[in-house]
Amino acid sequence: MADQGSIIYRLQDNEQTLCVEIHDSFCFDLLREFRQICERARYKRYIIDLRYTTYIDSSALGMLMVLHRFVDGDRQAVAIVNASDTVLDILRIAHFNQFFDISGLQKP
Amino acid sequence: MPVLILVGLCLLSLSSAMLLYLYLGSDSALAVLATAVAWGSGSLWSRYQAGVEQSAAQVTVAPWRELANPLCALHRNATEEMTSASNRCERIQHVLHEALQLLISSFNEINNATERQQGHAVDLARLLAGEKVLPTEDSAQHKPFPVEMAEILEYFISLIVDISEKSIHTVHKIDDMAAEIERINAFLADIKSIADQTNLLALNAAIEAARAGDAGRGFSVVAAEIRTLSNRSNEFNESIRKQVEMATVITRNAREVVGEMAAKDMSVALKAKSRVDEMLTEMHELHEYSAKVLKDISSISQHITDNVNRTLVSLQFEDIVRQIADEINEGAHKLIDMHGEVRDVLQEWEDKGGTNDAELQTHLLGELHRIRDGWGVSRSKVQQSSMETGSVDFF
Repeated sequence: MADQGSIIYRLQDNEQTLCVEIHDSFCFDLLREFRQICERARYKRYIIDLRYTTYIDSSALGMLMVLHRFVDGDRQAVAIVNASDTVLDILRIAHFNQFFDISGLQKP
Repeated sequence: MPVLILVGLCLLSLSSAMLLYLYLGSDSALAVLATAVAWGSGSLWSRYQAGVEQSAAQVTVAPWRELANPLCALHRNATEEMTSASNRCERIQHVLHEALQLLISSFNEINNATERQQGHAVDLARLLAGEKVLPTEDSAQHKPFPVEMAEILEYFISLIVDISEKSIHTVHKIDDMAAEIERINAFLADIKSIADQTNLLALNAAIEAARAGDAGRGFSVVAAEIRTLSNRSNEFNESIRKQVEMATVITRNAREVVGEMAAKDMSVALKAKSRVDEMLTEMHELHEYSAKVLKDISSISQHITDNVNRTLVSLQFEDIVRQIADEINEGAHKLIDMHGEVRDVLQEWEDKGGTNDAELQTHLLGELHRIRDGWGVSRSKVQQSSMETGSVDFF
């Protein structure tokens, strides 16, 4: 298990897009914070930026899936960007490209 | 004696012609045979004719018997030799037939064995490539191992994601419940402050009642009762607070447990997935390789079958050999017959006492001419049939 992660977020596009940067580990510790940030409103678009993410476990997948339910299963609503190769591999084997718009993975 | 040698040479040519046939083919052997027969009979005839003329000229000096005896001996030898040649011809046919039957059945067996071998090789290659499984009871449901592994892994990964999602959802609910409990605590604090204020009011009331003296005695009892109720309310409040705290601890524990369920390291799944992918790649490579090998095996088998079939067709040369041998045999029998006729003429001459009678000589010479002409006809027949067979090209 890597260092405890942290979240930085900002609003873009006239507060219609929420951009969430996950730093270091995207793990269970971030659960409450991630939920508070993402579910404080129903934004038009979410960008999950993983450029500083070094590690993810299955709870991160669970959190993303809960977000997917929160946006009523709209594949275009949540984009996952800048994932490293290892993280991309995990997203690939979980077939997350059918739920999210992931840069680096083809649409199924 | 030279005549005997000539006949011997003729027979030698005949038998060597048969041998030559086996080595060289029909045309050349028949040519040799025809030459031998022509040469042999021609020499015989000229010798015989010379003998007749000689005996006619010296009939008074050399008796007919001196000429007849060697001719008879010659005829016997020739007949024996011809019979023996005919028998050998039949033996050649027989031996050839048996050997060919054996060869044909062997080649057919090679064809069958090749077919079976190819079948086994195809099965084995498909088994190795995972295209096929060993026949078992539930073979219909069987899949190649890497494919089955990939499916199981897919199932487990989707299960992990599903469990994580539901766990996270549950943790969210637990967090919501904790917030509600926090609100109860706030209410409890409110209730405590109300009770404390009530207690204070009761205390004030008791002081005022004491100051009023006897008139306030009853009120002082009421004030004491209110204080008691306030204290009881506080006690009750405290026990609720304790229960809520307990509930908070339990909730926190539940959150931890569900959190553990949600947080699973994905690297194991990742490793397993890459291993399964490798296996699938290997399977496909093996599949491609075995397809190549199978193609090769098929073409080799086809090659063997083609060659064997060609050989089987070639082995039909037995028919031609038999025909040629029949012709040789026929020729031999004709020679025997011719000798028989010549012997009859000699016999007739001998019966008539071997005289030098002109009429008899003319008759006998006519007979001999007839025999020679007959021979010429039968020989040309042999040549004709040999040309026919020669036109069939098997080799």
